[in-house]
Amino acid sequence: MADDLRELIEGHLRGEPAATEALMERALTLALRTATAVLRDHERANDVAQDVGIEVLRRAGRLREPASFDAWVHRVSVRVTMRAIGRRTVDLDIDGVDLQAVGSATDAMADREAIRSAVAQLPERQQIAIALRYVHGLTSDEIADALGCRAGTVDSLLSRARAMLRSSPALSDFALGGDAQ
Amino acid sequence: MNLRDAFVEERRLTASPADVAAAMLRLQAGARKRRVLRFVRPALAAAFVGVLLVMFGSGGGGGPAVDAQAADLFTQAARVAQHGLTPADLKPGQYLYTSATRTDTTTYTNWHFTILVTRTTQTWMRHDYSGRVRSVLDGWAFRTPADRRAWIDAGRPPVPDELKVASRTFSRTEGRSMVAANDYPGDPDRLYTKLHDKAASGPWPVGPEMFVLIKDALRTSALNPSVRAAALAVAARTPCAHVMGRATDALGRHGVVVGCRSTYWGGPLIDEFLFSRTTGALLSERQVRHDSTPAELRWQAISQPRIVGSPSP
Repeated sequence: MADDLRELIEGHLRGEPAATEALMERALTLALRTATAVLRDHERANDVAQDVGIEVLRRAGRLREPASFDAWVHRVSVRVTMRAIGRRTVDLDIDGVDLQAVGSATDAMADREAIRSAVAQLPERQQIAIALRYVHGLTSDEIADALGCRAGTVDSLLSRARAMLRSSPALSDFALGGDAQ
Repeated sequence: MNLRDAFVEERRLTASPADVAAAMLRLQAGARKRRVLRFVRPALAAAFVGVLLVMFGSGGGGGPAVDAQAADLFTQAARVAQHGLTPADLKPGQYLYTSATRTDTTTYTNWHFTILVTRTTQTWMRHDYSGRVRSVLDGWAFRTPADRRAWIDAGRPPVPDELKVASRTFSRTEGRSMVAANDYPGDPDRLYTKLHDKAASGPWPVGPEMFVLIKDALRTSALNPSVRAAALAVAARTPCAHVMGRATDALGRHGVVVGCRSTYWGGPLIDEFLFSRTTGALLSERQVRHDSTPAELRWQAISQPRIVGSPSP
């Protein structure tokens, strides 16, 4: 994987469009997942992902170790997504949507929405930590690298986030469990 | 359900070809801009003087022209659109999901009042073009205080008189007709000729009428990417469109407005498109009456299509 990334980054720096496109797709996908989990708005998450992809590709020449490409994308994603949280003006609301007669698929979706709504009420850094852990499956060390803090701080952020979610009245029917990865 | 299950959809997300193409365009445009500015900055001042001389020298005549900035925006949007998803990109069990939130005026002529009704229409299309469409009434409001007074005078009749949720399936034939929008061709030259002829056959000014026809086509959220790209390419060649500034649409998305002023349909109107400043994608369209009491007549916000695994909201 690191060799593939090295080839792609070198190709990008040589001006090969296919290499740039492949790196762009990778960066956009990683950023899109984080931003969608936090912002809950596909359009705005797309805007964030675009900003992340452009910044990462423009500065790819500064990356010393290809294996750390994903970690770098996560760092930029965290910064741009945090900025976007501050500008959040639209909160998608499903209260007006009639969920009848669509069966268990819809029940599961409503459950997911309830949990994600509760996550959206958490402080920004906790939301980001939750997204990096449960969307990307990152370890505490990797999340710490993305957030620019210590691993112990990440564990504390996640622990506080889970405690707040468990105490949320909207999630009283859920058994959120422990740190399932 | 645990936290990991709650984010199952996010883990499946991948950047679409359209997103990658838009980002590549921005990346290339940025690099080009930096290269060009290095050499061209000294020449810009001279060019600016030249432009001023041409403008004042010609007296501003010469008939309608295409606004260069507007044309650039339409061209960029066309490039983004042509990389959009189609039912052919789907695997069995997948659906192409599109969504559009739209506000239209409904006039109750018996009682002389008008309301603005907002609905969200979601479409799930299979690879064979069959699928399901679902429309949800999001809300309504009186267009003006005078309309509210007329409603009270009429004895407060129940409005709006339509279903809160309407859902139905559609066949392959209907699905194909939805993505083709009046059998419009995906080739910009052929589409230009078709729309020009259609516009010229009526009593209205050709430029603004072409603009309206293009808006009508783009209003279909499930439109085939090639037709959408062709319509935007035609818009880039249609006189009357001008960049009108920046705006935020009804869903809170920021963008650049390109509009066309016209004076038919009983008054001065502006038809507008809103493009994303970051991706160039078409976000919204709206129509505004622009006289002594400006009023929004209709708007529609279109979401970018995406692939989903089930036809649920």
